[in-house]
Amino acid sequence: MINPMPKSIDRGPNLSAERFVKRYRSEKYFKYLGLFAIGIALSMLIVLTSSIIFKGHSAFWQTHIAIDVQITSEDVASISNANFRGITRTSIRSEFPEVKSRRDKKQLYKLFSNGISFEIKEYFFKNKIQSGGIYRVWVKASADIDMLRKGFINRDLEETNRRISDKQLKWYDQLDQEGRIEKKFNVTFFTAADSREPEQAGILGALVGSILTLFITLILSFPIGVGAAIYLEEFAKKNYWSDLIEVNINNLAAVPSIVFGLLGLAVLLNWFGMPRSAPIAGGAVLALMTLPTIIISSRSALKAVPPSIREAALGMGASRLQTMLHHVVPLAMPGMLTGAIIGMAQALGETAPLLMMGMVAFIVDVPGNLTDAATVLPVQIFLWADAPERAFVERTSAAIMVLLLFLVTMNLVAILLRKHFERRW
Amino acid sequence: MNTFSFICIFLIVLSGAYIFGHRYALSSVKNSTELHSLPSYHGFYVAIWFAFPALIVLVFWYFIEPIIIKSILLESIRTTAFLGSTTPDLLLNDIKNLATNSFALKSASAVKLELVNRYLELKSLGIYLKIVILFSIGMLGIFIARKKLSPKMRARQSVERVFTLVLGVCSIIAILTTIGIVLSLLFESIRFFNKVSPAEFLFGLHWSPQTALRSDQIGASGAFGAVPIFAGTLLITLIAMIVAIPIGLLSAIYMAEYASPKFRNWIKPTLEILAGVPTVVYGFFAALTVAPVIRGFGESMGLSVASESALAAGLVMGVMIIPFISSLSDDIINAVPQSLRDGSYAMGATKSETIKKVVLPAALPGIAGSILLAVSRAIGETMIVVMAAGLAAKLTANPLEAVTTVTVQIVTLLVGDQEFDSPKTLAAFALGLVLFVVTLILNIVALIIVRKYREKYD
Amino acid sequence: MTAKPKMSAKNVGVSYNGKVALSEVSIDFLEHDVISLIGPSGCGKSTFLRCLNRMNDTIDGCVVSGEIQLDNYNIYSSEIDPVEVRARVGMVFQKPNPFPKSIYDNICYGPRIHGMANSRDELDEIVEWSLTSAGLWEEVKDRLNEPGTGLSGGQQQRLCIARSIAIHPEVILMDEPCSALDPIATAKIEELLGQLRSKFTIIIVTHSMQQAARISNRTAFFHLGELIEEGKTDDIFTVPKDERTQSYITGRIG
Repeated sequence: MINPMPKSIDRGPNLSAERFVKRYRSEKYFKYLGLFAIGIALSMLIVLTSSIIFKGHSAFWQTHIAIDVQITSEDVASISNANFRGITRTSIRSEFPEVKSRRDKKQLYKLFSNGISFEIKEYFFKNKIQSGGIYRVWVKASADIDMLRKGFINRDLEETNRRISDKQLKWYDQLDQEGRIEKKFNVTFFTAADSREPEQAGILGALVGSILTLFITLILSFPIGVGAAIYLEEFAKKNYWSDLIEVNINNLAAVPSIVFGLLGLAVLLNWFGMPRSAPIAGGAVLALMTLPTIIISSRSALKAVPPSIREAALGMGASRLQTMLHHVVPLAMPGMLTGAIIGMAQALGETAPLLMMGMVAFIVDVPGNLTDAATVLPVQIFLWADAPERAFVERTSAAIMVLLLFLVTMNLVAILLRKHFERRW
Repeated sequence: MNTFSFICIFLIVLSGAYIFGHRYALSSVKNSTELHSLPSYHGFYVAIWFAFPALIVLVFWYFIEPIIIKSILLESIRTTAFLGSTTPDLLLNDIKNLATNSFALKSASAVKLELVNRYLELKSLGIYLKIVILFSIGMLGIFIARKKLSPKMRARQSVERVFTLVLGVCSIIAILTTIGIVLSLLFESIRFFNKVSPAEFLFGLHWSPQTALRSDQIGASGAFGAVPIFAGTLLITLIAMIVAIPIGLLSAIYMAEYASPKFRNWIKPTLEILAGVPTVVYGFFAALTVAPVIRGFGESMGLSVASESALAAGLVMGVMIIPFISSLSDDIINAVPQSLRDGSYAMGATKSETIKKVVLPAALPGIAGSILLAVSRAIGETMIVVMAAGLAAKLTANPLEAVTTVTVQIVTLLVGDQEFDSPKTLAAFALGLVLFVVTLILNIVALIIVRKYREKYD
Repeated sequence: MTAKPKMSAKNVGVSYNGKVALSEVSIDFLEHDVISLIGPSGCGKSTFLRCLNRMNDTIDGCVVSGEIQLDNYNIYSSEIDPVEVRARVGMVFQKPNPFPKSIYDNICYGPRIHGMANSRDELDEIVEWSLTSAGLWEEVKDRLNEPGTGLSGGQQQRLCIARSIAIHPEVILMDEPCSALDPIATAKIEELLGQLRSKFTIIIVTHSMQQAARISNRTAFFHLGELIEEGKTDDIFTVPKDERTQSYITGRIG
C-alpha cells in the first residue's frame, strides 16, 4: 500500500507564474550565450580574414615611375653590351638637372628600385627597339616611395622620423604633378622569388617549392597510406598487433608537427644524409606527418563499402586481392582521394617541421629540382613576417591570401568530390 | 646519371619483365585455359622476381655506401696525416659540405680539395657500381623466375602473397615512424643528459642555452633548467584554454541542441575553417594585429605590456583551438541518447535545464577527452608562439610579459647552424622528448576516455 | 457516467513530415482510472500517448491537430506552456532511462527544477516516499549515492517511475514500460501500478493483451492510426463491438 504523501510532494510542482518567468529568463540567456559564443568565433574568423585582406590587398599594386630614357643608337644595336646602369642614371639625372652633389644624387636614385636598369634593358629588348632616342619607360619605384604612394608614410612627420627625406618628397611631388607616378598591377609578386628588396620580392619561388614538396608528400603518403588502410581494413586479423597499429596511428595523428621535424632532422638529414632545405627531404617529413590522416580517411572509405559487394565478388570465385582491386578500392577511391586532398591541404599549410629541415634559407632562385634548396609558401610568410620593412607587411599578407586561396580551393575540391560521389548504400 | 633517368630505366626494365612473363606463359600452352593462373599473373611474377632482389640490394646499398666511403676517406685522411685542430669526423663533414657547395669549394685548401675530389670520385664510382650490381641481380631474378614458370604453376598465389606482404609493410611504416621518433629523441636526449643532468634539466630555474656556445662554458651549470620554459608553455596554454573552452563548449551546445540541422550543417564546417587556417597565418595575425592592440589597450590603462606578450599568443591560439573543442564536443553531445533528454522533458524540465543538468553531466567524460586533445594541441603548437611569444625564458605568471615555450626553444635552438655535439643543439631534442611524452600521454588518456564514452552509449 | 474527465482528446490527428500517423482520435480519461492503449505495432498508440504531454514537440516535423484537454484546458492552446503540461502529466518510457547520476539525484531532479522542497529534510522525505511507493526503497536505501545506471533493468524502470511520481503528476503516461523487462520485473511493476492507481490517473500503452486485462479497468484499441473502440476492459475482451477488435484479440491480426 502506498504511504501517505508527504506535504512537500502533495503540494505538487511549483508552477507559479513568477517561477516560470525566472526559468524562462535563464532559458533565454543560456540560448543566447551559445549564439553569442558562435558569434565570437565567427567574428574572429572575419577579423582574421579581413585584417589580412585589408593589410594585403595593396601588395597587388606596385608604384611605377615613368622615366625618359635617352639611348644612343650604338647602345640599341648591342643591347647586351650596353651599360644600362649608366644609361639609367644619366636619364634620371637629366630629369633633375639641379641635383649636383653626390649625396643628393644617391638620394635621387633611391626613389627607384635598385633593379631598374634591368627593367629598362628588358624594355628595349622586348620591344625590339632599333633606333636611338628618348623613350618613356615605366619602372618600379623603391619600396619607400611605394609606401608613400599607398599612404603608409606620414609626410607630416619630422624629416628624421620618416624614411623619406624632404628632398625626395619634393622630387616625388614634381614627378607626381607631371603624371609620371602610377600604381600598376604587381606582376613581380607572382614571377619572382624572394629578395631583400620588397619591390623585387615575389612568391613564385616559394610556390614552386611548395608544389615540389607536396609532390613528394603525395607520391609517398598516398600509396603507402592507401596500402596500409587496405591491409588493416581487409587483410589484418583483429588481434593484439592490429590493435597496436590502430592505437599507434591515432596517436601519431595527434603528435605535434614539430616532433616530426625533429624526426626528419635526426633521421632523414643526419642519418640518411638527405640534402638540407630540399623539397625531397621536406616532402618526406610531411608525408610521414600526413600518413595518419590518409590512413584514417582511407579506412573509413573502405568501411563504407558494404560487405555485400565483397561477398558477391568472392562468391564469383575472385581472390581476396582481386575483390579488393576490382571492386572495393574503386568504390572507395573518391573517399580516399578526399582524404588525400585534405591531408595535402594540411601539409601545404605546415611550417614548423620544415623549419627543422632547413627550408628557412633565403633563396632568390626558383627551385627547378627536387634536391635544390627551396622554401615553401608558409615558410616564406614566416620569413617575411620577420622582415622589418613596412613594405613586407603587405607582401606577407598578400602571400597569406595566395596560400589561403590554395587551401580554400583544395578543400572545395574535396567537398565537391565528396558530394559528387557520395553514395548511400 | 640522375635519379629521374635511373627510375625511368628501372620502370622500363620492370615492364619488360612483365611482358616477358606474360608472353612466355601464353606461348607455353596451346590454349590459355590450360594455365593455372591468368597470364598477367605470370607477368607480375617475373616482374616481382626482378624488382624485389634489386630493391633489397638498393636499400642495402644506401646503408652500406656511406660507411664504406667514410672508412676509405678516413684511411686517406690518416695517410695524408692532415688534421690540424679538427677531428677526422668533423673534417669528413666539412668535405661533404664542400662537395655540394661549389662556391665555397673555390676557397678551399689544396689538401681539402684533393679529399673532396676523392670523395666525389668515390661517389660516382659508387653510382656506377650500384647500377651494375642492381641490374645484374635483377636479371638473375628474372632468370630464376623463368626457370620456375610453367603452365601449372600457382603464379596467382605467389603474386598475391607478395602484394599482401607489401600492403603489410605499408601499415608497419606508421609503427616505424613512431619508433623512429622515440629512438631519435631518446638517442639525442641521452647524449644531452650525459652533459646535463636530468634533474637539473627538469627542475632547474635558469635557462640560457646560448652561453654554452662559448667553449670554456660547455655544460655550464644552471644554463639548462627548463622550468621557465615549461611554465611559459603552461601559461600560454592556460590562456588559450580560457578562450577556447567556454567559446568552444557553448558553441557545441548551441549547435547540438538549439541549432536547426540546416544551420548546424553550415556553421560547423565554417567554424572548422578556424582549425584549417595555417598556424603561420595565426602567428602573423597575433604578432602584427593582436599584440599591438593589446599593447595599446594595456598602455592606455597604464599597464606595461611587452611587445611579445603571452596574452597575444594565448588569445590567438585559443581562437585556433575553438573548433577542436566545438566539433568534438558537438559529436559527443549528439551521442547522448535522446531517451535521457526525453526523460528530463517528461519531468517538466525546460531545454536549458535538461542541457545543464542531464545532457552535460552525461557528456562530461567525452567533453573532458576533447579538452585534453585540445590541450595537447595547444602545447604542441609552434608557429603562433614562435612569431608572437618571446624568447625570454622568464618565470612569471603575468600574461602581459613575454614568455617562451618548449616549441619556441626547439625552433630557436635548431634553426641556423647546428653542431651536433653541443648541448645547445641536443637540448632541443630533450625538449622534444618532453613534448612528445606529454602530448602522447594526453592523447592516449583522451582517446581512451572518448572511446569508453562512445562504448557506453552505443 | 457523470464524472468529469481528467483528460480528453478531441479529433486528435498527428502527422510526421506530412505523413499521417494518427487521425481523428477522441477519447476521455477519468481520474484514477488505469487505461490501456492496445493495438498492433505501428498503430499509433505510442504516438497518441506522446501527444498527451506534448512530448511530440521535441520531434522535428511532427504536427498535432485537434485538441487535448487537461482539466478543461486545451494543452495545445498557444498560451499553455508544454513545460507546465509535462510537470502535470508525467511519463515513463519503454526503455528505462535513469539519468547518469546517483539514485538520490535521479529522484530529486524533478522536485529541484520545480522548486518543491524547501530543505534538505524535505528532499530526503520526497526521496524516501517516492522510492517506497515505487517499491524500491528497501533495495536501494543503503546505496542512494550510487549511480542509477548501476541498477538492474527492472530496478531502473521502478526508479524511473519513482522519479516521475516524485513531482506528484496528475496523470502518468507509460509507454510499454515492461517491454524491456523480464517476467519477474514485469510482475513487480504491474503490482506497483495497482497501488499507484489510488493516487494517479495512469494511461499505459502495452502490446500485451494479457497485461492490459490484468492491470486496467478501461481499454482502448488502436488500429492503423485510428481509435477503433474504447470501453471497459472486460467488455473489450469479451464482447468487442468492432470486428477488427475481435480479430486482434483473437490473434488474427497483429
